[in-house]
Amino acid sequence: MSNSLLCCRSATLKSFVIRALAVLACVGLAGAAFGQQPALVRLSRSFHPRFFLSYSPDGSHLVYSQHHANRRASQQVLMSLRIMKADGSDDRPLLAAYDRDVQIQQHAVWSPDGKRLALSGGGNDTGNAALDVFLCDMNNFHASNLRKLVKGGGVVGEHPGWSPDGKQLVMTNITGSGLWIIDADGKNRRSLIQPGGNYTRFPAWSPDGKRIAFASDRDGNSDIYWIRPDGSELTRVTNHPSIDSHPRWSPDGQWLAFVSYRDGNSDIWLCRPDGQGLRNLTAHAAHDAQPAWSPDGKHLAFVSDRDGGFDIYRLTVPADLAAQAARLPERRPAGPVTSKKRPDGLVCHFNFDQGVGNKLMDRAGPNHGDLMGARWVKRGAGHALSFNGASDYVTCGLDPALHLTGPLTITVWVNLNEKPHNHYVVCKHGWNIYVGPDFVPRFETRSAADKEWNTLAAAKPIKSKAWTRIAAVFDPAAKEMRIHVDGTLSARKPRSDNAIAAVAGYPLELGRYGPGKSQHLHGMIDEVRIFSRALSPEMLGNSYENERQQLFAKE
Amino acid sequence: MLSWGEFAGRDCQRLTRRSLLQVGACSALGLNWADWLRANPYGGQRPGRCRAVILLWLWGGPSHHETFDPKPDAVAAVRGPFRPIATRTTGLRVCELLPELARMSDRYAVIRSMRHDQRDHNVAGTIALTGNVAGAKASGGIPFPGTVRPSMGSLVSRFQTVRRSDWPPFVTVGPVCKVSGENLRGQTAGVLGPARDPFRIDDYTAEHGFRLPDTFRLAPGLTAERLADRRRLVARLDAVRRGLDASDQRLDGYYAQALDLVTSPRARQALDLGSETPRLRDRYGRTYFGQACILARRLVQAGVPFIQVNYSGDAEDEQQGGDGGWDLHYRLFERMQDRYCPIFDRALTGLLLDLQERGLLDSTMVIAMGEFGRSPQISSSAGREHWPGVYSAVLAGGGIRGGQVHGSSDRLGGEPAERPVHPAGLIATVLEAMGANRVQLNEMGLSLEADALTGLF
Repeated sequence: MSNSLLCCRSATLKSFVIRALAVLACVGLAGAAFGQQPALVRLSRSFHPRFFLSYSPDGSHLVYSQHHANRRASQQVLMSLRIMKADGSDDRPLLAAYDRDVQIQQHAVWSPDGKRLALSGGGNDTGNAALDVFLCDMNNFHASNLRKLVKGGGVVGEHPGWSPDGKQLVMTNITGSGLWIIDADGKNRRSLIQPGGNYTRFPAWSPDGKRIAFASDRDGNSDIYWIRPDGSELTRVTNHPSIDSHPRWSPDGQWLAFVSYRDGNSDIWLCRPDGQGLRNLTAHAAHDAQPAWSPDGKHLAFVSDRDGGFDIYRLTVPADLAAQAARLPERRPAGPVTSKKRPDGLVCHFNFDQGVGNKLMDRAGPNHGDLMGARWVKRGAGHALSFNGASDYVTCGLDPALHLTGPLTITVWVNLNEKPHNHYVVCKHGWNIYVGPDFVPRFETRSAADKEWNTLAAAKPIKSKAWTRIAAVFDPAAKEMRIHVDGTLSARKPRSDNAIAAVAGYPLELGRYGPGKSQHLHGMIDEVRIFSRALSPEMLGNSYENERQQLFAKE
Repeated sequence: MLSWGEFAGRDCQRLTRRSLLQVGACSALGLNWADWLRANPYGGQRPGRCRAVILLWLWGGPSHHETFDPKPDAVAAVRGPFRPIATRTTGLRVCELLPELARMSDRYAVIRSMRHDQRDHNVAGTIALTGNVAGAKASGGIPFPGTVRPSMGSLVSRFQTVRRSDWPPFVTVGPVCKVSGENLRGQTAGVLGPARDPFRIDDYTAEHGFRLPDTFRLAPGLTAERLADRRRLVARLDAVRRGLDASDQRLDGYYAQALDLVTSPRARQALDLGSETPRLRDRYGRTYFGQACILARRLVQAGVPFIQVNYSGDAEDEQQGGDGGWDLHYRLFERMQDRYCPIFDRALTGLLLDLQERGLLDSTMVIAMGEFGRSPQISSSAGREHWPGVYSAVLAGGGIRGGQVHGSSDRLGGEPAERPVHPAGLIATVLEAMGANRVQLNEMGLSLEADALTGLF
């Protein structure tokens, strides 16, 4: 690096050669063959920090956001939306008429028909941290009628992404940890994936409308995922300790462009939707980020500070991609290892006996938990986890094997302190066990039509500050729900529908109500088992006795 | 605008040399440059081994987790989505958002155990810049007892023995720091008097670079040569007036120095970033902060002993109506990845390399710090809250041994685990390096309640 400063002449010569080659490539004299650095064109030169690029559907223009440093007076735009032609010319503000009211203008994405832009907007010096989704109309590449997607004081989300038919938008919100879908008329907002981790951003709908890619740290660090628009098949595309973020689908849906630090700094990478075919497109020591595909799939625009500023560049996508896609037919993506189906139907088992560290190990599958404040406590020769009733919980995995909408059995040992609120013990989207302030255990499942909760309460309260085993069973064959306390059937309830409405993207959590991030358990949990079948009362009686002997032997 | 004979002085509306040579307000208190110079005789002790200090003031409070003190073994709600990467220094890992700084960790030291006890920006900022909470005031709050202590730069300037520049000895590049509309206390000289307040350069555009404040620019049609002629005229007037105005007897030299800054090509050359090669300007990053760091280096070359570069004027990021400070309560990870860390990584790397290649790093101490760090627990808004309990500062050059870590934080980055450092200790370290006389400081009632970190040298 220091040498580079000393060798200006040679560097300048090198820079000239690189740029000359780029120009040659642009006029078609140089192709971007496999293994070569893609041809590159610098589109902007004013050094202002730029972010969030989006091509118009006809490929003729780019919109982007520009940050204005050192603007502290009121009524001045701080992150403004701008538009330029795809060759970098005719760069101009797009929403200047709205700068006084909407001082943050970012995350703009063009609707598929080119008639609207969706963006995250906010500001107005209110001290308000909330952004919200805005729409504006586009006519001849001029914007008008900037308005909130949903009028009123509520915030629906930010970071919008259009469905390919233009009828829906996917978005995240300020928590940055979940995704929602909303109709383009601002109605019918629904959860796509429950908040998980700390960093779920950059949702992007695939061109065929069948998948939504995003970045999330729900498994520990920032990786690329996709999920079906109905909330099923949450799939981890990349799995690398470095940052992977900002995914964008190629127009043919065959590739995802994304940002990755896996080579030591921020570069633009490509991979197939199953994680295959990884390729570093920029491979440069500079900070390369914010990729956006041209609609014809031949170019990727991105932001880079390789020439000092955060300027916009355009690279020509390697010509061999189509051939490579053909060589790499999509397979099941490389994601978390799916638990093997066990004959006893056990899909998840926490025995809590490692007693140290920040992980709760799943003995039956890959759904290891992250301790979020919960403490290990000694229990004889083994351990349990203690929860403070206010903020502690454990967030576990969401392996497809845990996406249980049919037969289900949950067993768990609890030792609870008195608290005037519900203690959520085991919770996944669609089903849970909790103990009310009356100390009566309850088993909840969501109706198949996703209209209501079916709640089954045990016949009587359990004791506080004493170990009790609770078992809950959803038995579609018997058309009933059952709840057992200390190995004895306590209550049962008919259930006419034969399925649970559950969304796959929600992780299993211990010690709180996950969707609400609330109703924390105060006390201890030990020995959790989850089965993908309905265990009979006899089996649960036997298993209770076995566990009791083992657990009390611990003490 | 340089005002020359355009208005009367304050003393009974008569024409004085002050009104003849009003060079404009050079401090927040409206004192002119000549006032500044008059009260700044550069009397003091012998210089230390360090000849200049550049303070990169990261106003708003950078997250230590996402910069120099990542916690990969903490739970997800603490460690966040980014991972640490190895550096050139054995045992030192920094966040992957700082790849260039990771590769040159042998040039700097990290203090991972900075701490104090104030969570408000303005109060914490006063502590960080002065080493003392006296006189600090939270926005809308009641001031702490006592008088605000002098800023670090003012203390350094007070103890300079030799004037090496036409520039004042304490220059701040960037806007006045504030939050919620109230100025941070401790940016100025306090009891040392406004004469040791920073000279501020806050006029920057990407297109034109940095410029002197309007009050220091020559009026249209008034060239430096014409100004010099007038200067000689005023000198003759002075000789006549001296008997009538004894208090002004020492002013000649000060006004001359004021004019030096306006008229001296050498002094003004420091502002001319266009004389740098484009490649070097690229190296720092063509951002406001990057270019401000180049100016800081040029001011060091011009002989300025203390330069403070403010990353922003407002502590808060733009989502709160600020101008891009490090106060990332919301969407911290997205912003740190997209903007803050790339800008900082590039600018600090460029500055350290440039200083080294010019042979200036040994005599120039560079400090990068904010007023506090960020909370271990990630908030429900994907951000981190204020956290003075422990945070990091980076020191390089000026005799600091690179490739070392001083102190450590606990497993969550919430408290110092060993060797806690109060900001007063860091300021004491700077003063010691600059050869300040602690005895004299104590006699002035400005004692710092901490010892210098001599182990860093």
